[in-house]
Amino acid sequence: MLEIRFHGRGGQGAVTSAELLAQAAIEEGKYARAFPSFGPERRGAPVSAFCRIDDKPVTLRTSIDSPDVVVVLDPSLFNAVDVTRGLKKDGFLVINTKKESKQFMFEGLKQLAAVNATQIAQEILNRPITNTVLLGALIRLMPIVKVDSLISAVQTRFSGKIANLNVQALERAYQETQVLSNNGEQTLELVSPKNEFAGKEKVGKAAKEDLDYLWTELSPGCVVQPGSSRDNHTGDWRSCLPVIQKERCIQCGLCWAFCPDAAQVQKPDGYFSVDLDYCKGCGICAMECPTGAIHMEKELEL
Amino acid sequence: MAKRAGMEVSIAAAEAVKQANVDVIAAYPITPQTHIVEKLSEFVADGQLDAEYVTVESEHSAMSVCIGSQASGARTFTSTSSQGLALMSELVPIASALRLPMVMLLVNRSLSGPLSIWNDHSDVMSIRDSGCIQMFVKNGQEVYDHVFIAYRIAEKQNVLLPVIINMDGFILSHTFEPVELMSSDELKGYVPPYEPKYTLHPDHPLTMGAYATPALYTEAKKAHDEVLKASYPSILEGWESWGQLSGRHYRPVEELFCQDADTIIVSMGSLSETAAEAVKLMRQQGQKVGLLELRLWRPFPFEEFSRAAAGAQRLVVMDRAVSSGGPGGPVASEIRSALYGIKNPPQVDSYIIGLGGRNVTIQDYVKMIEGEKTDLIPEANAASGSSYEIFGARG
Amino acid sequence: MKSLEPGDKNKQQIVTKCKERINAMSDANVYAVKTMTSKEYFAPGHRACSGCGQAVAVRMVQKTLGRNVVMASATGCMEVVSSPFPQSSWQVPWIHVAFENAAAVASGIEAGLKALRRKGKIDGRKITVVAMAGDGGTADIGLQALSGALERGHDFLYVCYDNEAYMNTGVQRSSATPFGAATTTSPAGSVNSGQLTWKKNMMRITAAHDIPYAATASPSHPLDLVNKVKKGMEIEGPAYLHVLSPCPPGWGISAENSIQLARLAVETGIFPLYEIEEGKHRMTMSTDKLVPVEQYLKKQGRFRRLSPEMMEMIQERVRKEWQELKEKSDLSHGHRPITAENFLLRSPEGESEAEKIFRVKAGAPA
Repeated sequence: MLEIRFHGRGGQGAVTSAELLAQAAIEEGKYARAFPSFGPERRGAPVSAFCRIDDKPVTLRTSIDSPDVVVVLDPSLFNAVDVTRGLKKDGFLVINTKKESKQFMFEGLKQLAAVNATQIAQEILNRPITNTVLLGALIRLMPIVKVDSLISAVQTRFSGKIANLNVQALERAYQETQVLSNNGEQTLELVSPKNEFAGKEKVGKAAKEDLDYLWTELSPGCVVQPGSSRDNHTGDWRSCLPVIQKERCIQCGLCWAFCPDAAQVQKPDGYFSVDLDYCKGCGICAMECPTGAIHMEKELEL
Repeated sequence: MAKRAGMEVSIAAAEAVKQANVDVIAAYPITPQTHIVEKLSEFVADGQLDAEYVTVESEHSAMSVCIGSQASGARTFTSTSSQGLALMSELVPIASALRLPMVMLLVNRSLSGPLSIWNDHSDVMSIRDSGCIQMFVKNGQEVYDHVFIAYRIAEKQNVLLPVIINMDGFILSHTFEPVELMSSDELKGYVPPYEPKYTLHPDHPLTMGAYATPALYTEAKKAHDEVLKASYPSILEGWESWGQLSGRHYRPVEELFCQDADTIIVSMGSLSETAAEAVKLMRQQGQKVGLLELRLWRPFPFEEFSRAAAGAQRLVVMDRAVSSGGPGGPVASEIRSALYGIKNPPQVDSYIIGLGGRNVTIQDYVKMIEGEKTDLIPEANAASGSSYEIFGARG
Repeated sequence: MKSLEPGDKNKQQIVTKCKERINAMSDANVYAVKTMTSKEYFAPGHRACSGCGQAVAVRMVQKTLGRNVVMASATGCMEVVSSPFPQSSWQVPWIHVAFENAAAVASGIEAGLKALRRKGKIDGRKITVVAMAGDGGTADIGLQALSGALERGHDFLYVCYDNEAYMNTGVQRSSATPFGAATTTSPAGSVNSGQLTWKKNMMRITAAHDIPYAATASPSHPLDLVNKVKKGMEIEGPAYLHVLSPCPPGWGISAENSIQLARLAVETGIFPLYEIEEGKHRMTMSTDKLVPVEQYLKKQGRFRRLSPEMMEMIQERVRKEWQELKEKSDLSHGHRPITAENFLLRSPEGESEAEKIFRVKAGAPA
């Protein structure tokens, strides 16, 4: 049995990827199951989806904690989520990157497939939905299903122009994917942008994750301390970052007022700056700034 | 000084709620609960009770108001019946999970359909697993007493759970009978001022009703389950200290001639008094019959029950609700489980009686005891589904 | 204070754009924002979607309400994104019970606090009780509880955050979904194109309870919103506030556009800003000319399949309702736009700090 885990952001189609792959396998007479991680995840938040494929009937209904293959739809996820968590030794990784693929190689990984999926999606689909692109890369890495089966699954799922464009994207990805085997070199190094507001009043009173609680530790009625969501750094949802040009800023405060995440913070000198722990990169501040002092820049890939 | 008076049981209930000095009452009228809430509105209108009476537009809102007011730190009371409870039932487990020690008088009435305003226990059985403390009372005096007992137990710091007092509709609620009312001096201190652990107040902001992911729901349920089970000694304490105060003593199970009985009737609520008469009659005729009255329903008093019932050869369990297609009446099923694994357990016969206000007479009890129903043993007849009998159904 | 660089080739463009933007807002909302407290009562770290319009509105409402408040929330997006145990975004006392009963829970809190205050169990200060719910929790499943609470006259403020569908469960239609909008249960199919009914008018329904105050507000107009929340708090008895809350995934817009869409909803007259105080209507946003609805509708994925006929039907209805509203307003208090001049918090000594900063920084003449 092959177990595959997809990582994406809410709205990017990670679940669709898993389902398309399962659909293709089922069409070939194999057995497969695809399922999402159930939860209240919102658009932009890191999400995962799972797929199991086998020649025998698949009966397991547990989440996939040690996958054979991990597929990462969005390059910014490397900073946000431990995408390779539980990946089997000599496992496989499929990534979307514009960088040189060998940077992502690490010890214990057998093979790596890399493709600039965002660019392909942008050029063909005109939006950064990378799910079908990465499926192309995945089957280039390992022929889990035939290309034709996958195309047929895409055509069943989508219709008309959208289907055709997705097939195009998939085929181009299949061509452009670079597959790299491990030669013992280790280069994976993650760097996050530095947050000038880090550490300031960021520790709420919850102090613990839900999984750390024993039943004896719960307060009567499961009462929660105020403002404890500050522990949850939503900055890892971000794929774009607001950049403020001080010389254009009139300190009107609209960016601060219109921020859904209280991530625009006024400093003592009157200017505003972005709290990277919470900014989800929505871009409202850039859109609403009356003087055009804010623009959005792509988050660094690594 | 205590004062003995003749009054309708609903009025005695309202008197007790007044004397418990509640802060907020929210209730929606439904037969047969109405006399209680009418009397309470009268007390508020006359200034005899300093409380906010919220005349809600449904039972769903009644329970919602109770949750809000109890969470703000106010002592809260509500009362309902049947469909009213069914409409509330979404919220009852939330009230208990939020650990809000309100008191509800549930004036038991059958659930529709067909519509029936008369008495049975189908309403309360639908919220059996709501995590509240649930008890049954059998006469006006017990109704009156248990309002105070309920507040004392509910508001204890190690309990903080809603208490539901079940009193039979009409049979109790609309009966005029003598009740001994306590004076406020006598009551003083029995129900101390409510000191909530957490309240909704700007001086100490907090979040109530956060949701639990799969990582935590089990622990939340476990904590709730444990606190309900652990409330047992507090419940006993409530009854014991009430006994010292009033001379009226209550136990989780009340026994009559159980010690040497071959056959024991198990009953709840107002039927117990008639059942007691039947038992006395049969004793006079030389039959070794006893009565076991189940007062505490949740947490279920396993130990006391097993001890009281262990000597008998046969238990005749009177259920007042049908668990359609199930192994027996809800109480009988519970008792079969409670006795599972003990040495030489008594045979448990499950009779469903008194549905939708059907009268249950002394002769009915005699009939049930004398008509030895071996075919009601579930092991023997599981396949035929005849492990219980809806008693007295014509045809 | 640093002004624009003289050598900045875009200076004139910036100043023009700046002026245009502020004029386009047609009131002095731009000055209002800095008068809001810097304190966050709706803490970051919540899980609302990127660019959530409702989160913007909630932040503004909570800033106005301040700390002396108790909140009762219905089930819905804001509840889910703000309260996964053991984390909460609420800095003020907040309770969630169920979906359809925010108004009833708030009634209970109000009654409880009132009784405790009267009996001397808590101090006598006024605590504002606020219920919050989405459009489904207000106009559909919670309508009965809301009606009951308004009729009983509890002293509380009810805030409906209207994102025009059941967004929390995946964009199903509600009675507040506008005509023509596609949702997952009113899909644009080959026979029907989207929602076939007109949006339920909650303002008329709540006002019919003869409550002292009902108003609409939009996060795109912060000053107006702040003023209305204040009124709702101060007025004795029930107050109702209906806040438009653009939803990027549900409306099919990109995250950065939610405030812009809220503004367009106001400027097209699709979501007019007005209040009904003691039965008197008053429009709180002045405009001589409505922007064509097309400009609002065509920006949203949910209206992608709207036919020109439907577009025209919407335009016609907006015109008619706008006219009716205007006539009602004229009959009573007349039209009173909010401007910098009548802005509540403006200092009486002429130019406010915000205005001054704005003028100097923008390089506008003194």
